[in-house]
Amino acid sequence: MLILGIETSCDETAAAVVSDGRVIVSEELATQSGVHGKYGGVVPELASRGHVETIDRVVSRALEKAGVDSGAVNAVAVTAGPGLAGALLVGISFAKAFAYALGRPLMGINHLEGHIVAPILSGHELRYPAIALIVSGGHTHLYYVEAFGRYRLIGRTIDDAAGEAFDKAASCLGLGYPGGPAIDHLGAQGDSTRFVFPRPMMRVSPHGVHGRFDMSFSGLKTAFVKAVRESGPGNGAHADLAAGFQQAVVDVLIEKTVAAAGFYKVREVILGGGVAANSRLRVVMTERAVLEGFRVVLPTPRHCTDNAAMIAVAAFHRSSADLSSSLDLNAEPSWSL
Amino acid sequence: MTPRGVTDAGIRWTCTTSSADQTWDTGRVLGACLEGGEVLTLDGELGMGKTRFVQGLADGLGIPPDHVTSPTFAVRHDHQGRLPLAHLDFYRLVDPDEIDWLDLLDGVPQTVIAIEWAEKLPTTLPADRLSIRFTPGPASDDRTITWSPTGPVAERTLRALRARHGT
Repeated sequence: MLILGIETSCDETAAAVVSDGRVIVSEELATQSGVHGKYGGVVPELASRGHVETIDRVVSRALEKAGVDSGAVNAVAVTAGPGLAGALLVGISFAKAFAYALGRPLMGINHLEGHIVAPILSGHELRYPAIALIVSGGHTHLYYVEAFGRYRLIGRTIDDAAGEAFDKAASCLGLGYPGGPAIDHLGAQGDSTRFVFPRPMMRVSPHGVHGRFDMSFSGLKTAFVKAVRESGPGNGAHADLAAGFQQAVVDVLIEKTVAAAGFYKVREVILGGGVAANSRLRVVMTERAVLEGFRVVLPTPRHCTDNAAMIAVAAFHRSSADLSSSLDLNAEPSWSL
Repeated sequence: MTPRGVTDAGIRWTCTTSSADQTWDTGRVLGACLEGGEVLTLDGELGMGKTRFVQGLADGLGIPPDHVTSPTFAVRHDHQGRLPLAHLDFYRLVDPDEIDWLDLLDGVPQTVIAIEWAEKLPTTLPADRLSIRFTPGPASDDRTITWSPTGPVAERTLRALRARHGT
């Protein structure tokens, strides 16, 4: 069974052909971040208009690379949310037209479910129940996953997303976009103990409106901005600042995830989203998994970030449950899982 | 907790908060003053408390404040309370045309629009707006908040706010 996946929820225009919900036949991606990276510290322009300009080419290339005629596609899957309404609609409209022309079913997929199933693309079987940490520029969500399709949001950021904190810290140091890889790279050369940043809510027991697995990164950002200012001109301290910052984010993400795994007594932890490509997070989470007795399942770094293959994977698993969408499918910018 | 306020010669008003909680509270008091349709712009460096302020604002509008997170990546978050609140962030925007393209400033007439990093695209902003600027204050956690209305609706909002603060 061949599924064409389309993803336009944020800055990337992506298409992929996936066979039987696990094997990538072809993938195509158009991104803005490479263009802007070289200007250093510049935040990328939103690419919503870019989606319109590139989607036709991206989908055609994906089909060409797959070496299949469009008629061989059994279903069309598209991200329906969450994301930017204007950006989502480009992918949805294209997918609708494509599915209608081919006479194939159309499936609207939740982007976050795509991130959860992304490790399947690396040959992993997912074992449920599991805890899933989806962490990116726009999301910092902890889910209890009872089974495929059954998710309970148990924790999330109460202010900034972790990936947003990485991007803003990078821009503060004059590093390029995207900020995550830039901090990862610079931090690897630094001493993470020279600057010790706050880890807000890391060990907080439940109180007030916040749950025990909620997270906060805004105070860390404020402390980081202050430390950069106080470190004075020049970039002598930048590697140490990046290392200290990265360690603080990683510590919070890991403590919350480990606590959730313990609380729900699960032995499987799934990571996803752009921040899951962070090498420090991957290493420390893998070490902790051994100590705590759970398995950590990681997508490859390129499938941590937004991609269309994961959308096709989610669609494959949904299709077994007979969950296709009709052509009145609409964008759901705030769709929660 | 009333922030310390001083009155400018003109219609502008400046006050200082001494903690993130006080910044939150200042937002909450503003939220309680709003009548619908106001445009608020929030500018200041990273870590000045803009999102924190909007969390307070949401509370003042009867929106659960824990629903309010940074809209930097999503660009716009919508909330429904006593009045609808559109929480925007222009941090990632470069092209003014994206505002129309994405229908970013749309909403029913009662929608309160709060825009972080608004000065990144100054030409796109509605004429009548209350500009709220955050700058570092005298002590390390202090924030000086400068309020500048640019039209009659914003002036009415600022008068109501100052009445609440007794200045």
